[in-house]
Amino acid sequence: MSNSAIAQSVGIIGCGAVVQEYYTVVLPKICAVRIHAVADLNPENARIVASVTGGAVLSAKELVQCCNWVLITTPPEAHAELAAEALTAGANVVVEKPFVTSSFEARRLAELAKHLGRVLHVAQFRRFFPPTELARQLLQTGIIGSIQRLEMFEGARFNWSTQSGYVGRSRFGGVLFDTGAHTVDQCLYAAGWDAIEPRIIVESVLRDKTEPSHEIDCRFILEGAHQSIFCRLFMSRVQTLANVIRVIGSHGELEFDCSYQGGVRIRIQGDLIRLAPQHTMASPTEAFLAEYHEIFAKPGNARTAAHRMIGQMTILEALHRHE
Amino acid sequence: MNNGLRKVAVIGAAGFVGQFVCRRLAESGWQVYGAASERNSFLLDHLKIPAASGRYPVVVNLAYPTSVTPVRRKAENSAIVERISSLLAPGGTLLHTSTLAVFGFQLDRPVACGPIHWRPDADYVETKVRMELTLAEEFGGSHRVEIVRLGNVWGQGSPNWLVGLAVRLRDGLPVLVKGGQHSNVTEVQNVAAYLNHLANLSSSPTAGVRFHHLAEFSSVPWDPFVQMIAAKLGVDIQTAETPVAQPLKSLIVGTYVGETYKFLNRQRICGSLMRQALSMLPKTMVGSVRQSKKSLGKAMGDDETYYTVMGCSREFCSSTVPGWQPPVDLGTSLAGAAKWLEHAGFVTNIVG
Repeated sequence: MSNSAIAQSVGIIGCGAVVQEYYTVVLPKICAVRIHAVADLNPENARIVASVTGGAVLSAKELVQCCNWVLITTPPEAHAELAAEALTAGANVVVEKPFVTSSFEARRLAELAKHLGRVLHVAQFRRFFPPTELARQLLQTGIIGSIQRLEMFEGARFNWSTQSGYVGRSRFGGVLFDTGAHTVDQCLYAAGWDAIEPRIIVESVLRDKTEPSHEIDCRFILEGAHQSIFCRLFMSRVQTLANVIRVIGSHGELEFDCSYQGGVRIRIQGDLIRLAPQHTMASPTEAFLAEYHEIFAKPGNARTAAHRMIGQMTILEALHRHE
Repeated sequence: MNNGLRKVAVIGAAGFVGQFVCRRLAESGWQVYGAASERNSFLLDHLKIPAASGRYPVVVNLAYPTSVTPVRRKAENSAIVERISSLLAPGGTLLHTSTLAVFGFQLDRPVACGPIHWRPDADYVETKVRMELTLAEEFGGSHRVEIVRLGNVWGQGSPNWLVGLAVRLRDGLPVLVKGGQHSNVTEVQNVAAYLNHLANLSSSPTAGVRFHHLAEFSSVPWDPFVQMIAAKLGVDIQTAETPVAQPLKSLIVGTYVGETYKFLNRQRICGSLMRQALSMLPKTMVGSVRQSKKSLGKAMGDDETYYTVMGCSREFCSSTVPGWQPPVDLGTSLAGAAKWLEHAGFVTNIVG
């Protein structure tokens, strides 16, 4: 199958909330995409998405054989196996976040895709949020000097309707892998550390309960690119937090909102400068659309390519394992 | 006391106020059971409380409709009443939290501690008034019903009045409003303490309905709250003008239809009539109206609501049972909130 096929035949494995709320809205707006088939262990979910998209309801095994792009949107434990099957069957693959459950799986899949000449992306749509992109551009200028510390705070009462309920049952359904996969990714992307595979030294992890936890507070050190960066990650799905990512440099600090709205604040020698992105978004769906436009326009070269997600998986895995 | 009498079910346990209430009741020796919406009932394990099932001598209701579409709020109210019915034991006590908003967004009606009659009003107010009246009618004859109208709930983690203010200050948006004299604030720990106090009075319940107002910092203006946050964040405070009425030009026929709809929808009389008419339409038709007007269902824009509350010149005085004293004073409340801002990441607090 060719990467440059004009009408991409897309199959979706996993027809839960994210597909019903985002994918069915966004994909029809991309003219080079035709949803050919859908699959879900829950036949009712598959039927709902099929009726909206016009795709046929198939099993996952049948689907990977007849689509040149496969989107995997199941709970995270199933990602690695399904992605490997789809790549081996000759399809290009987009995996919903969190990518997989270990850095080993992430590296193996990225290498498999490369070996087979296929494209593998991870749907980290927050990389397209205007404040995140603006923060990345500003940090690239070296405005706050060399990065010394990273702080990530994201929390709100959970209000997402999952179809599978994995957020309350799966070991990887806790706030770390669920929301943290976004926050850590935004932070690494903005700080220019997303293509680095860092070494991580975990200092402490406090969680409200065993995984899947609803609140987690982590302190760790990232080593890479001849640097050591002290990091704090505090995530909650039971209380509202500041919802910011803060990058502290040798000359000042830069803070940006985790949301698709908001902006960037820079503090240098006591002076506060507020910057608003030139391009704003009315809803997160716009970021979804931008992400998939880029994936289909620049397969393999888009900012969501899987090889840029391995560092993120290294961090999540280490924090998840730390008791 | 019989162990059975010490069981309490909290509806809305996973919410901001709910978490404080559950902790306070548990500290006070109650066996707490939680009920939460389908979406986040799994969060109850964070509080380490079991899910409610069966009947309880005391039920605390903190749930309220959250839909932005006015037509759906009525249905959500009914679902909450059903939930209360399913949990409340015969002759038990219902503690229901309502809001100062039942008197209108600007407290422009007499603020009396007693039942108020239903009237056409902005949809949020209507929903709250309807709930009070329904509960009084449904349960007041056979249960002890305590309706606690809360002021603006402030405190550690308050999404509206601590996080909301901090975010506005952080973004350089106006916070204080000229003409605003009363914050009408209640501290969330005092809310929890008061509900616990009322629950503890339930050993010999008498059927009937009582109303309470809780806004122990009502006379304090917003200034000390805002100043504390601004100092903590290291930002300046911007002050807005007193809010003014919407211009009538949006009512002129021929102007943008959506704007006219929005204008009508947020008005007290005609908005109410419109919502009444919508609720009488067949469900399929209402569904399509809702779909096309999804973003217009919000009765007031965020900023407008915000400025109205911050610019309030009327006081919502506390009216609580004799002998009860709020355990948290203003200084302690402000200090706790300041500490929480560090905890939640509003200021750099890392030690590297």
